[in-house]
Amino acid sequence: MIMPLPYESELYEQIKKQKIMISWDIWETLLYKCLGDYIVPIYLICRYYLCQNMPIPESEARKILSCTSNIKGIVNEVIRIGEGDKLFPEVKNRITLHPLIKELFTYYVGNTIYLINLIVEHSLTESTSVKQISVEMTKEILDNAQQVRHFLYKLLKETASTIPN
Amino acid sequence: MGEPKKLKLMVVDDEPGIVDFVKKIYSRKGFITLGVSDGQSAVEVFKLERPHISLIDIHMPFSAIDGVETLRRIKEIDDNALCIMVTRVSDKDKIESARQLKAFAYLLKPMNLEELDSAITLAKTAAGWEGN
Repeated sequence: MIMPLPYESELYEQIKKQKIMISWDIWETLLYKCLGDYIVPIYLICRYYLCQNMPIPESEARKILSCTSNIKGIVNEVIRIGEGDKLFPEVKNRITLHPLIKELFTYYVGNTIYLINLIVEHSLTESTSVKQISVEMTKEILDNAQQVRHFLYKLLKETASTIPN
Repeated sequence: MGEPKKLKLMVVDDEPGIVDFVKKIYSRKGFITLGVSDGQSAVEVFKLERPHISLIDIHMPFSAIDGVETLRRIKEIDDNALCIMVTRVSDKDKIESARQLKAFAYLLKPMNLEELDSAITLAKTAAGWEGN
């Protein structure tokens, strides 16, 4: 798992003091497209095979890589919000993401997804006849996926301006 | 006949998990891999081991010096050092500083192995490497 930022509490303190918010439109994009569509499948695949105490087969491992690839696209899009680059239509022309939010988001999501990619690629290129992710490595992927979920929930709690019913 | 020459890759990242897996992957690909978790150690290892390629994370909150400063110090030792910088979209100023310091390439996190492989292959070619 990724180590927490050493100055994380100061960043959250500043977010609180400066009343930095993220609009609900942007949250919807982050949560539904990043967390919902791509993090949860990684989490579910890992949980399923861990419950069976079985390695993840290659076909399922490829699904994890596909999810991480989509998350990468979302990270890049979300970070460019307000910078005049191509954006999700639903958040176009909305508020700019504050640099403190970008700092936290890119640190946690960027590092964690990079690490998940490395674990999966390492497992698939291991010199055994069957390409799969071992139970031990699956636990590591699950821990990382959970870390992203927890991070996003924490950020949501600290920054969402209004949560519609 | 001596041992075939192998390419040395140094991985610099303050996330031990990332260093560990990049090392494992490239050791299996036939590289000699060196891993360090802070900029100062990277400079020391560079002096001693002279890796052919260095993969340096720019944003290292657990290191006394960041990746750009690490690059600057490595370039002072060897201006031709091939350094691939790993960074984030939000590190624009640092990307520019790394470019001015003649970083070989930069990769945006979270990258996949294909992107990493492709940058390392380009660096190998730039180094005139025929082994591996």
